[in-house]
Parts: sequence; structure tokens; C-alpha cells
Amino acid sequence: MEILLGLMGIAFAVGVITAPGHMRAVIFMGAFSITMATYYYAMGAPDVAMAEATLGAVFTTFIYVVAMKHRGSIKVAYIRNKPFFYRENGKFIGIEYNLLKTFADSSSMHLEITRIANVPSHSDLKKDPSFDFDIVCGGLKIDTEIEGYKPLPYHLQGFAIYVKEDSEDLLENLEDFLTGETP
Amino acid sequence: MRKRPAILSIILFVVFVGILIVSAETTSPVSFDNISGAVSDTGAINVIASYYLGYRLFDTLFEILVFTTAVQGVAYLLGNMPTLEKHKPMREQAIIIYTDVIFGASIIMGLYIAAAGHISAGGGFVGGIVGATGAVLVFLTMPIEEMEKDFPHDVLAILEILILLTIFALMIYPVFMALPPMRNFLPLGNIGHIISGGTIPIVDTLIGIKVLIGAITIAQTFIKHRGVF
Amino acid sequence: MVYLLIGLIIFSIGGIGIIWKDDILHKLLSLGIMNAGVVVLFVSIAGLHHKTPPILNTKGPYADPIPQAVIITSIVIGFATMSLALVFTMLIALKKGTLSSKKLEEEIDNEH
Repeated sequence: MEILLGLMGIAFAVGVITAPGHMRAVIFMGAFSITMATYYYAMGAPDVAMAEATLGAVFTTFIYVVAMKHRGSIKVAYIRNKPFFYRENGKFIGIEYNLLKTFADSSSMHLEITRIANVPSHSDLKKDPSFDFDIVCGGLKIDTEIEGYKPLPYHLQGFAIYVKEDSEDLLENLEDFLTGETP
Repeated sequence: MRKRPAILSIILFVVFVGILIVSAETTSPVSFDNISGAVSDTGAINVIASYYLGYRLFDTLFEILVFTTAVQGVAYLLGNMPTLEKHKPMREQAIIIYTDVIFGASIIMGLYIAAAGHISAGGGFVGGIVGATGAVLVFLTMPIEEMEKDFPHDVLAILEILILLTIFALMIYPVFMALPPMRNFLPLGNIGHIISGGTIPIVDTLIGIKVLIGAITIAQTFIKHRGVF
Repeated sequence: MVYLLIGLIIFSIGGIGIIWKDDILHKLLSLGIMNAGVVVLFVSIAGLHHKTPPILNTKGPYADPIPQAVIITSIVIGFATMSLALVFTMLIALKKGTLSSKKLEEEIDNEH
């Protein structure tokens, strides 16, 4: 019986170190803590089991969830384009949406998505100063000119994602993520 | 990281811990068929409590000090950051009533676990953390001004230091009775009763209250300056 | 025995996690796993021959109470250390904007 619990603990520990993203690793850690608490009780140590169950499974999970609260939000504007980014039955679907969502999850950021009608031209940007999005996407061709935004060097057959020009941090992180440098 | 020194260090880890395990395997077994010697000496049924509160009280003292240092460190480092502007607590009537009842029940249960540490499993540290779990639930439903009014930070800090000084006084007092310090100087009652074992349940309860206040301080500081939502 | 081998494997998994992961939060979680591995070693040594809790209500030969009394201290101290380390991680994330240890090392190298 104890050997079975020990093997479950090993499986959860492997899950902690191979989980992408912060939330999954913390949840695996909570499961690992409470499995090891049951193992300690089965080996005849109830004091140690109570200490590990309360400290590991309750307080540690709470403190980690507070520490990894999202550190900001990325504002995304999208043009409705069928295979890239569209909305159906209230959920977002699309290649570019999946890409941006995985990137935001792995660095615990929050996505704020709004829809725009078409590519903003020069006069639109001048008369509407609240157009302050970090990313514009949705099947824009590689040679579209948007003032203040430049396309990412990695594009899909001529369609690219446009990132705001003076946000150096976001550009660097997004490039690292796309070339697979972050685990 | 560079891969080759990493693999070498992992292999060294495994070899080192393997040597430890082999040396632990060859020690002779200790069978504790008869532990009534420890029970009649300290008066506590739980032999673990009689060890870490009777024979090795010095060790427990430093554990309390490490915990206090961590709490003070968290409160000081995060206290310099500004408090949250937009804190959206859950203000529904059902949740407020539910968490208030749960908070009361969890504090009573935590103090019982801490006070009966010499009769059954548990002890001071576990009791404090169990009480703090209910407090965390209450913090999720309060706006910041109410949290500051109901759990004032300076009063809790003074109470924590007073309890620590009481524990020190209980440890030093046997010196005035011509006994070595950290000794059980109250009479041992009948074994198995809740009031037995001399100073063991008193120190246990004090440790429980201290850990409760410390964990509440940690949770309050995290929510006030960092936020959950 | 098998119980000691379980402790060794959990400890090694934690050690691998600290070395191979890039994010500081994952490194802290692996430190917690290493702590639990050491506790498994101590509890296994305590309960190697008999597995009854050492409280006088139960009968028969008991488990060894001394390693259990020593290792409760370690769990509480591990929790206190980890919470303080998390505070430092939050301060780093606020000041530098990144949690990847590779980028932080490059910044430190560029300063000299």
C-alpha cells in the first residue's frame, strides 16, 4: 500500500517539473503534497502527515497563486478572418489566437481582445488617440503599412502579426517564444 | 544551462544520496516495544510531543525564531510596496455568512489541536496553520479598509512579541527554583487527562497562538499588497 | 529497501528540476520537492520495522519516534524559507520585468 502511494508521488513529482506554464505546476505540487501526506500516515507518522497536509496543500498553494497573479495585460486588436482569428458561439478560434493565448499563458499575462473593422489608416490613428493596442493581427498581408507598428519577422505564407514599435520588451519575448527558446 | 556539467552534477547527487541510504540500511534496528519510560518521565502520552517539547525544547525554540524571522521579513519587504487600488472582493451575502462561520469553527479547532498535542497527534504548529486557513477565506471577502480595521497590523505584532517573551520566561523560570532551565517544573497530573504533563500543554498552546498570528500576518500582507484577482 | 529508494528518486527529481528549468518559480517548486524527498527518507528510517504510531493508546511495538520529532521542524522551516523566497521573486519580477534566469544572468554579466 505504501509503495503504491510512493509511486503516485513520483508520478506527480515528474508532473511538476515537466508542466508548461505556472498554474499547472502549482496544481501538481498540491497533489504531490497531499499524496505524500497520506504516505507519511501509512508509515506510522501522523504528526508529520498533518503538518505536511496543512502546510503543503493549503498554504503553499495559496501563496503561489497570489505570487503568480497576472502581471499585466496585452491588448490585442483583431480583424475577423476565417482561419486566423474569429469568434464562434462566444469562443475565440484560430491559428493566431492559439499562438497568442499560449504565449500569454506561459508568461502569466492576460489578453484583452477587441475587434476592429479593418486596417487602421493614417487618418484613423490621428483622430482616435485611444487606439492603443499592442498587437494587431488577423490575416494582414506582409506588406500592409500601419503607422507605428511593424510586423514580426516570422510569418505564415505572407500573413503576419503586427506589434507596436516601441514596446521592445514584448517584441523580444514574443520572438523568443516563437523560436522555441523558452521551455 | 550548459548540459554536460549539469548531467555530471545530477550523477553526483544520486551517488551521494545512494551512499547515505546504504549506510542507513546497515544500522541496527531500534524496536520500541516499551516506551512507558518516556511517558512516566514527562507525563505526555504522545511520545513525539514529549520529545520536541520536553527533551529537545532548545530545538523548538530556534524553530519558532526562524518562523518569526520569516514573518517579519515578509511584512517588512512587502510593506514598502503600495497597497492595491483595484481590489475586487466577493461581496455576496451567502459567501460572507459562510466564511464567517467557517472562520470561527476553524479557530476553535486549531486551538484544540494545539492544546491537545500531548494526548493525540497534532501539536502547536499544525494548530496554528489550521486556524489561519479560515482567516484566508475571510480575507477574500473583505475590502481593504475593513481588513485593516478588523485585523490591525500593529496590535497583532505587539501580541506576537508578548507571546514570545512569555515562552522565554517559561523556559528561564526553573533557574530560580534551582533546577536547570527548560525543565518541567509544574506537577505532572494523571496521565491521559488534558491537564497533565506540566508545562507541555501550556507551551503547546502558546506556540499555536503565535503561529496563528504569524500566518494571518503573512496572508494579510500578501493580499493587501499583491492581491489575488 | 524500497522505501529508501522512493526517497532517493524524489530527491533526484527535485535536483533535476532545479538545474534544468529556466523560470525561477519552477526552481522554487523543485526546491519544495527536494524538501519532501528528505522527509520521506527520515520517515522511512523511522517506520522501517514497525508501522504503528508511537502514541500510548495503540498497542504493540511502535515506530521510532525520534526521527519524526526531528523532521517536523524541517517542514515548518522549509515553508518559512519558501515564502520569503517568493517575496524576493515578486520583487525581481516587478523590477526587471522578466522571470527567466538566462536573461537575468545576461544582465548581471553586462553590468561588469
